[in-house]
Amino acid sequence: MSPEIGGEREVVRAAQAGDLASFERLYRSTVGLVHALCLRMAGNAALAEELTQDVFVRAWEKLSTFRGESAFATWLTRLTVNVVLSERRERRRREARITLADDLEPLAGAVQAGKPGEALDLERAIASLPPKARHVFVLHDVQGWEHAEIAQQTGLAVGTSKAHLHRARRLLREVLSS
Amino acid sequence: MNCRDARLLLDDLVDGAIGETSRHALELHLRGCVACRASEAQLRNLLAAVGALPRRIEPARELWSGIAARITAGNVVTGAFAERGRRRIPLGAAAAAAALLIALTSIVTAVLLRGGHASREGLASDGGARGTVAASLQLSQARSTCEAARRQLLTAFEARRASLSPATLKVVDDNLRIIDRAVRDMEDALARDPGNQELPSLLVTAYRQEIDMLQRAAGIPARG
Amino acid sequence: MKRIGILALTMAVAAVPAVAQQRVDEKKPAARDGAVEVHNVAGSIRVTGWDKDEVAVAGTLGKGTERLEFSSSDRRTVVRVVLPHNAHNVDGSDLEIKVPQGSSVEVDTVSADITVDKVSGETDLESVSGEVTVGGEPTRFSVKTVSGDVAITAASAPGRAKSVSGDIKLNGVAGNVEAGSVSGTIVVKGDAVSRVDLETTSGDIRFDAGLTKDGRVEAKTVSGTVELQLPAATLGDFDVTTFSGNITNDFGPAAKRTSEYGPGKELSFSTGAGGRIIAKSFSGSVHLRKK
Repeated sequence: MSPEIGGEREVVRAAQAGDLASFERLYRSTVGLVHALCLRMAGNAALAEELTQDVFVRAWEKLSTFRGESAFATWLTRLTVNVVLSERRERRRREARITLADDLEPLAGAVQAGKPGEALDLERAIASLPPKARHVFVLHDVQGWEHAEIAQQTGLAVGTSKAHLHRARRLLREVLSS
Repeated sequence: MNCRDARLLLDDLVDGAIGETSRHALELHLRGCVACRASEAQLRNLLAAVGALPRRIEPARELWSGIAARITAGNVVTGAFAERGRRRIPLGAAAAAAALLIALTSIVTAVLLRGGHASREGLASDGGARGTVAASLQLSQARSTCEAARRQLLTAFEARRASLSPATLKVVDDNLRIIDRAVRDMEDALARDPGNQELPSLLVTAYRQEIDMLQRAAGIPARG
Repeated sequence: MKRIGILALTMAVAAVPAVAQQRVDEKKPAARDGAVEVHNVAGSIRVTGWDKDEVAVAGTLGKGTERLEFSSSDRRTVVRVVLPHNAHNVDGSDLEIKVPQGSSVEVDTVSADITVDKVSGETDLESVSGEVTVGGEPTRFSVKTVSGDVAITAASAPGRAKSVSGDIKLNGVAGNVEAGSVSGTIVVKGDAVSRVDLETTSGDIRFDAGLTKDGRVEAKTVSGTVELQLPAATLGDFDVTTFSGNITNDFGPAAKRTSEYGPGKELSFSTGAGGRIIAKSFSGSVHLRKK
């Protein structure tokens, strides 16, 4: 057990006991991960920020269910996917059409490594995928989940998940190579 | 193997999830097909680019204060109940609304109660299919009647907020939150596991409890 | 306890009678099995059955009370503590009411504690935060509170008790009984019950009784813990399901997962032809215990 994980355990325990300052520390160390996932799953920066807040509020509510069987970030990631997918179900009717140009501006500041132009194009391209394909792509290729896990979280059948991934990859290849 | 099949199998190849026979056939095809080799290369490049994407993206603005505010206010409910701004409702309208909703909710409660009884019988003997269908129908009925009634009830309850004691207000608020959270958790679970036979009946129960409670809350006399 | 109406006797008696605390002691004849209706927002209410054909009201009206309405017509007696319309500083009233033991009793309050005993008609009690205690043997009981606790010791009476956060205790249960709460705890004790239905959202449920030959106990909760304690020799069909909770079983078989891919556990077995024991939860755990 690395010292980092050991230290994290203490902070988590303190947060579980109700210490908001400890929870803020957890927030600081994981918000980048949560926000990145929300951004890529939702394809919309404003929504991603709202979702990020929802995730942490929900994490606070559900903190007692974290029993340290995985790293905190892993648990938080699952919770994030949960929140994003339920939010999507609730908002589906009210969701306004997303205009790519407006919503992707903030992504310009997101690039941290690699060839700037390429990374931005890729993020834009991912955001432009149809929703289900985008979700599966992000979970499988960005987050590294297996199809079985994706199926369980999204309610899709494993075969459907694979089909969405195939479609996402095909669309992305076309976008990037044009 | 033709190109169409090959393209479909490329995913499994790069994911390391391809069976021996298929791999053999695919590699054979790739050896002789420039177009598909190009597709493979593109796919691998794509995944490499994805791998290079940043793991963390900090939000553009500071989000913690909003989160902390919601946590400390205990204001962590979604749905209609989240709109908690003090609405100014003329007194006459509030009384009329209250009268209407009492009438409405007794109908609603009757519908849901009847539904509740039916589900009990449905699950009793044949224990399976019939119970499930009945339960799902009741659930959609419960959801839609709950949505309609809930909005009206909440309006009436909000109108009465000022005349209730803080202790009672807190009990009602806290318990509405408990039910809302329970409903949300169960609806999430049902969405991920749509074939689940037990969740619909638990959900109907929860919706019924919510209507009951809102009705009770809206009817609490002043100073309650 | 919410006895707002306790005032020192040395309290000055103001010139206007309504401002001072008043003693009450009145009676009226009443039908042996008529209805008695009591309304008192705050203070305490004790209703006891006796063998006279009359309703007697004794007690103290709180400071600021406008008056006591005590009327009867047909076969219904009404006892109502009337408060001024806009008063903010009104003390509760403490009422001791004796009623013919065959009466049906209806009580409505916000914060007064309610006690009803030795009454054999129907008993219908509503409170917000007042605690409710019922004894005797009513033909039926119906109790609703928001945060008030409920304690019913009424042998073999059918009925229902509902609260939002108040705890509900039902003792000596035998008949057809329903109890529901959002976050309050429900505890049911009895000898042999014929039908008990219990449901909560987050409150715990404890059942400690036997079943009659065709008896049935059903407990449903979202996240509360369910503990069903039954005699070791109980015969019946057991059906327990949970989405994400645990199931423990003293009666034999262990729970199985509902499906390989999803969450959920279930436990379905029989100890012989007899009653039905059903428990469903979402995330709460269910424990089947032998007495």
